[in-house]
Amino acid sequence: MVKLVSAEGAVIDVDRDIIEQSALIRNILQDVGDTGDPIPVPNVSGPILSKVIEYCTHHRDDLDRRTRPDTSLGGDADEASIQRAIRQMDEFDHNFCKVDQGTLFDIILAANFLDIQPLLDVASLTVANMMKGKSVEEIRRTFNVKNDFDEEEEARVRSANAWCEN
Amino acid sequence: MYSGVSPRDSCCLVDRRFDVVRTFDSLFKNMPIRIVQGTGQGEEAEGGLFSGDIQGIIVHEACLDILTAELNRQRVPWTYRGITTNACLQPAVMDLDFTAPGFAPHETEVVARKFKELGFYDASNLWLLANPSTLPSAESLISPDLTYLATATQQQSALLDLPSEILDNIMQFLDEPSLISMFFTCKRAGAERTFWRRMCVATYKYVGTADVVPGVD
Repeated sequence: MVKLVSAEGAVIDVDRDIIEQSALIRNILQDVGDTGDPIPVPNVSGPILSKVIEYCTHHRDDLDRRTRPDTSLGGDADEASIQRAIRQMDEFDHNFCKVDQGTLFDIILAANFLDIQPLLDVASLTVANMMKGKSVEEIRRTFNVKNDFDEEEEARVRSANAWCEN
Repeated sequence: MYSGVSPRDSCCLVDRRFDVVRTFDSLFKNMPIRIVQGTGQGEEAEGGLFSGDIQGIIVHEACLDILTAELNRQRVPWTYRGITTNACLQPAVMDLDFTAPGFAPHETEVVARKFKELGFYDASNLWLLANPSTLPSAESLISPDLTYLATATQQQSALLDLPSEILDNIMQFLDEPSLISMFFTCKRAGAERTFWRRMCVATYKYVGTADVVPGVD
């Protein structure tokens, strides 16, 4: 059993095999050993940490999910690995991500901090799906994006990138 | 054997032993594609870009960084549709008024000249193919002062306030039309460090290695 300390100082117990889906925690346990000391997770609130543990608990036996090729800049995503991430999103994942936008972004930030790539993919894909097929104005409304182009700038940008809109 | 993916909907393999590309694209299934440009230094392109053949342009991943750095600067309309339409609408955008290390202006000059001569440029037969041959890292090819730095912020938007690496993770799941919509939402979106790279990758469905191509040994 591993003890995690959330941003508010709440201590949450979690099975080691569950939380080892986090590369950050796994590396800490490998480097320091399981001393029994609580591990602080200062960037993640208690409720979000509980959500993350809920996700990891559901997928504790899905070993295939735990690794996929690096998709960061410089380790470019290939189409097959992206498609695999999309295919792997199951019903639990869809329901798991049916949360308000603030919670969804908090989950993304937590997954990024804890280095849980499958959770980061699932949450990122959910955000991407919220953008797909939407017009510029719909995306602005959905994500509260302020149109910061003035008329002249917008005309210039649209002219210089006219090919985008063809 | 190297692999790439067509800008349409499927994949292809580049076999350097015979300088041919085998494709699984639904439109050009099993049709050989001639390689028209190598990546070795000083290696000249074989044939022209305007012969009407289906042609594959072999690029190194570092080239993507160079191309997308130029896209950041809105210099090079290097996307599948952008080559054609921007050539029609914004021919001056192809003019390079500086020397970028590692970036040859040759191709843009050729395109601009041919466009002027012919009055059109058909990019539908151009394919961007991955070639994992060795090249210097992109960082050594791109001068830092040539790359665009995003300064605009969107503090009201939780989405655009996310760190760049997370936005990049989200953008990898977006298709070209969605990226284009995102681009026009505000200044910050298009200025995102990896935006044009994602646009380029989404347009060409670039892949890096043969072992991830479905159904191919």
